[in-house]
Amino acid sequence: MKHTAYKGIVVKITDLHLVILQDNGRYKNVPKNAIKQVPLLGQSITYVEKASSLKWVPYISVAALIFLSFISFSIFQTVKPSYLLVIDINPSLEMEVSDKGEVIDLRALNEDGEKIVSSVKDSNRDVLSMIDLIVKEAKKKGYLAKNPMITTSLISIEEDDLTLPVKEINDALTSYVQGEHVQVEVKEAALVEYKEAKKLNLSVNYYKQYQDLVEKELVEDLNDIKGKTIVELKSMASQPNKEIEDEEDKESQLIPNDTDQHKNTEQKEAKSKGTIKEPKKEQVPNDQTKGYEDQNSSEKSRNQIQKEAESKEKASTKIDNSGDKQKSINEQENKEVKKEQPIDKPQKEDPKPVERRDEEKDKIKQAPIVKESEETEENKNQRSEKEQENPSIDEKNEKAKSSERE
Amino acid sequence: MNNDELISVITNCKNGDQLSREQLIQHYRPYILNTASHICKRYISWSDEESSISLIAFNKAIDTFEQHSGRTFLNYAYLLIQRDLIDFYKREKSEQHLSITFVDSEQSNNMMDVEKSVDNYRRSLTSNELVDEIIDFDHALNEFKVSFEELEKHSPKHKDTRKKLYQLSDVFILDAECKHHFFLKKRLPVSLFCKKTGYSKKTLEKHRKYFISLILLKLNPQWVQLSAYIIDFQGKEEEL
Repeated sequence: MKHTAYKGIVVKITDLHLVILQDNGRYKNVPKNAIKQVPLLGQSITYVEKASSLKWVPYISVAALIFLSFISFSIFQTVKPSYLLVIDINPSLEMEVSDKGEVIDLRALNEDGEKIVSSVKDSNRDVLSMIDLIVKEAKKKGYLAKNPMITTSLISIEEDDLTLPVKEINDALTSYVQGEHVQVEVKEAALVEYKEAKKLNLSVNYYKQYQDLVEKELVEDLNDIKGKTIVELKSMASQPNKEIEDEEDKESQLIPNDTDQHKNTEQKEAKSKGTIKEPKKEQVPNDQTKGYEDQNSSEKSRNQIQKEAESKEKASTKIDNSGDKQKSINEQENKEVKKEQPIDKPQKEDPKPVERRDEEKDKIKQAPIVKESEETEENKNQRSEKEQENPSIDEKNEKAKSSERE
Repeated sequence: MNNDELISVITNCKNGDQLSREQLIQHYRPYILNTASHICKRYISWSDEESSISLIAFNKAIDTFEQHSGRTFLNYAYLLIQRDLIDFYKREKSEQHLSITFVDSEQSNNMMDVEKSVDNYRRSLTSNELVDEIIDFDHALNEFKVSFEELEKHSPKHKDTRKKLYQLSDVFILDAECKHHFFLKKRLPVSLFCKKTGYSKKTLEKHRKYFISLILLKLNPQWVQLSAYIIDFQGKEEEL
């Protein structure tokens, strides 16, 4: 510890200090309580000042305070993100970016995203290089091949208008995926949208797409877009009419598929029974159907019969009206129809297997029966139409049926 | 205030000049207070009883001072103040209750003797001339609105600067115009002086108060002991 001695004569005594004139011509204010006895004016005294470390405490504390405030300020600065960047390839990622373009936080929004985050995390702090890394990682893991689309949203967090680097990021993304068939989309999104999306547990890009679809009344529920990628949603939105048709087609396909199966089984059955002899084949199923009708006495089967009867009548009237010419035409048509629709024939000829199937299904499940019966009804309608076209085929069958009924 | 002046003032006071008496008391106020503090062995302010006793004693000293008794006035005043204060304490003691702490009277008397002799030795070291010089210097500084306690802050820390200022004060006292302004306006003509010497106005302004104190010391060569401090240090500087 350094000691400094001050020696001099007392020239003045104030309330707090003794002023001494030192030998070197300098003046020094000595604290009163440092000198024990009261000196006279002009008395020579020596004052030893201890340069204690405590003397520096206020300076050090002030310096520390400034330092701390500076540090905390800089931390505060970096902590505050200025915008959010949400990337959807299929791995959905979200990052908080400061106004200087530093990535503050990187979060995954789904499982695929977590895989990317774990491999990318803490490797870089710059947005553009971070995006580059993510895209590369997505390429490596094959996500980009699966879903050739990068959808990105920028969300400003701060209220004041911040010019979001939409163009920069767009340019960067396009340069990263250059030469590949990858679609890039960068958009701005509002904070409100982001919050809404968070509520629904979606990424903003998904949410926007979802909103789009809801507006076009293509989807009603979140479940409708569950498990679908952005690309799929995009295509849904961009070709709404086609999509509807497709969907309808799918639905309609579902029904005939069942009937097709029936037809196939019918054919097989028919073949196994030896369908060479027609009358036999006709009689057997008809008897069975009759029995079935008797057992169940379902309204639909009655309707069916009524329709068949009607069509038969029409056919008969046609035959009546038309002469030999008509007959020849019918014969020609018959040939054509036989060539064209070889499956239809057995179906019309023996509806038994279909109903048998229905019976079986009834036993297993009771719910689908309505649908099945509806389907069969449709089929029958179709059949009846065809019957109208080809009355000559049905003539014999229906005559036989009617005679049986009678 | 030199000895002859003081004696004439004291004779005036004795003849009933109230104004000069008042001035004399006013002049020695710091000395009276300091003496009282020294005798009481604690710092005494003007609101203490001891200070008024000291003032009365000082006033009595003016009346009873004998020029040819072989004592200086300040010594005589000191003696009177001391006596009155001791009387005061004795009175206080007799009026007050017994002291709680037991004091061995014989030992305390012995201690007092030792202290007294030490005090006398100390007083003999500090000459009354120096006290006079200090008091005069203080008054001179007050005229220029400078006080001793400020001088620490304004005195230059570097030897070179002090040396430079010392040389400049030599230049200043030789300059009649500057000196005239200095006493007329009771302030340092910084601009005028800087224009003449070409010295930095900023530096001079910074050490203005210290510079004033130097000039005053130079202009009062009768303050032999005080000047010795400055010259001593200057001599040492030159030796180095």
